Amino acid sequence: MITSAIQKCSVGCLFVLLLVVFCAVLANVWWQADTTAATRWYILTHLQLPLALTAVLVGSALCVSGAALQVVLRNPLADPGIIGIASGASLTAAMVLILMPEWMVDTLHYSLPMACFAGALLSTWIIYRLSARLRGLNTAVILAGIAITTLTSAIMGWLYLFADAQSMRNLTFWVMGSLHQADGWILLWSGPLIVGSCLFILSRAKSLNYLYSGDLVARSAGIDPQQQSKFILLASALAVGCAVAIAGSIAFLGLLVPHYLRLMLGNDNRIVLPASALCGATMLLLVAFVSDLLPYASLPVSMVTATIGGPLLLFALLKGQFK
Amino acid sequence: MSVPITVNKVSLAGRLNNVSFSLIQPGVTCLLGANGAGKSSLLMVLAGLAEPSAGEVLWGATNVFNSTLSALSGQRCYVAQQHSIQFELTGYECLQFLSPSQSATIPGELIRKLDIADLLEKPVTRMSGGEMQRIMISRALLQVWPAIQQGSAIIVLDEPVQGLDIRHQIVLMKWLSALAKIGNQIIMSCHDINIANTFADTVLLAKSGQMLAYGPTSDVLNLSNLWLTFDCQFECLLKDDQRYFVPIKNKTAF
Repeated sequence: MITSAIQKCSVGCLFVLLLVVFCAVLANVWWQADTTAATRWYILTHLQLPLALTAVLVGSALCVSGAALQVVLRNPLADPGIIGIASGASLTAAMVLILMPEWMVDTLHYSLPMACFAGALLSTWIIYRLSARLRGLNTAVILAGIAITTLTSAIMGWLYLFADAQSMRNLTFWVMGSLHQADGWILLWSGPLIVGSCLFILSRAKSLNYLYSGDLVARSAGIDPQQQSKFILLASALAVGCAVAIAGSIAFLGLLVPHYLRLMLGNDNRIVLPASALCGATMLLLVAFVSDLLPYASLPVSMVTATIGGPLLLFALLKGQFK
Repeated sequence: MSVPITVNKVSLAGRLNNVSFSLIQPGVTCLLGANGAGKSSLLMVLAGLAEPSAGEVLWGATNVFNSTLSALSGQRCYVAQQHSIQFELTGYECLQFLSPSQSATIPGELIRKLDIADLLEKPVTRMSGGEMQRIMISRALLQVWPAIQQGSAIIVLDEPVQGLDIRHQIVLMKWLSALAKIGNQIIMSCHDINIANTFADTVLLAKSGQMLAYGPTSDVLNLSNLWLTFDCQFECLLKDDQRYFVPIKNKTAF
């Protein structure tokens, strides 16, 4: 049995690891030759710090939301990417990026997160209604997610058709997901919203534990499952919407990190949620670190997570870990 | 410090129709009836988990539906007929997450009586139906453990012996009878007439959302009431002053 002490110790270790990788990403600037102190300071504050903060915010938002969504939707396969929440956010973001008139471009730092939140909220609502109606039919929720993703891709295809060349290039790179695209203003708007939603979800860890056994058992244990689920879904949609606004759509992270943490540390959400936040942040910081080491390229993060996540998901399915 | 329960003219759209009864003395009350008779609906209303369209349910002098869910949860526990857990929770996690503080140690008596020592490390997804049922009964009892000790708990179980082997059925029913003797109200549904006949102090007979009869087991369980309830003829056998009801083959109303 995994004791409480081991669980807490593991969360502590993950926190230390996060700090180490965070410092490593910042310290990258010191390894670059032929730069003056002033240039290094500029790179640190204008490139490396936003990059590290983006990785931490997006990684923790996706993993905490993924872990919460899995319990609320009673579906271990739920992931903001797979069930269409990130696609909804991407669609509204694409609409803003392509259709926004030039005179409104200055408002992007807050209109983009808000648009993503609206898109994420709409997809979350559709998925929640479906999962409530199709209780126990895991595949139906996943299929609904695929339907939403396909529909949003189709609408984005139509948008591409009418976009100019520059908007198309911006959108293509944004959709691939990058940790380098966030500027300070978007971080300033989205950061507090992500931190607030994640803290809210973390504060609901006990309620999520009750929800494991179904609505009736949760009601009998004294909590209102519908009310709790709605608040948690709202917070998840906000976190995912802001994460998509900052870094585009990133696949698999929100599915696999909570899944493997549950296998290793048990199912207690008081441990799984903070561990997911720390682990998700560390994973994206590692991607940022590796990306920085490559001399001529900036790695699109969703490409990396999909390359690693796809085979891991197939392996988990083959092992029968998702029932 | 037992809690009397009064069900007063309760109706629930399409499932219960003007049901009234009261359970004044603590004891084991068994609800019998054919499929679709409204047993599960009545248990959910009685537990405060489904609000009736008319009527009221009183625990003592308190109207259940004027209380909050958290206020009820310290006094009443409920075991559903079906269990669905999509995650690989272990038996221990099932108990831990549903205990009031989510960190409680599991009382030894609970582990022994429900024979769950070997199930604490086992994931629920790999448990048999009976093993899962024992874990679910344990988690419900753990939820109101302090009230059980004080003899003031209301324990509502929807077909608790379903899936259990004979030995576990008897051990469970004997223990529930012992808990009732210290003041707890045990209300359960069941399809085994002989379990009801052996262990219940009171029997309620339900048919098509209505109460056919209720009262002491020895009065209510008779051949004519069983025929009315189940549309099936029984024979009553006597052995060591104990009655046993056996359905007669080929003598049903169909």
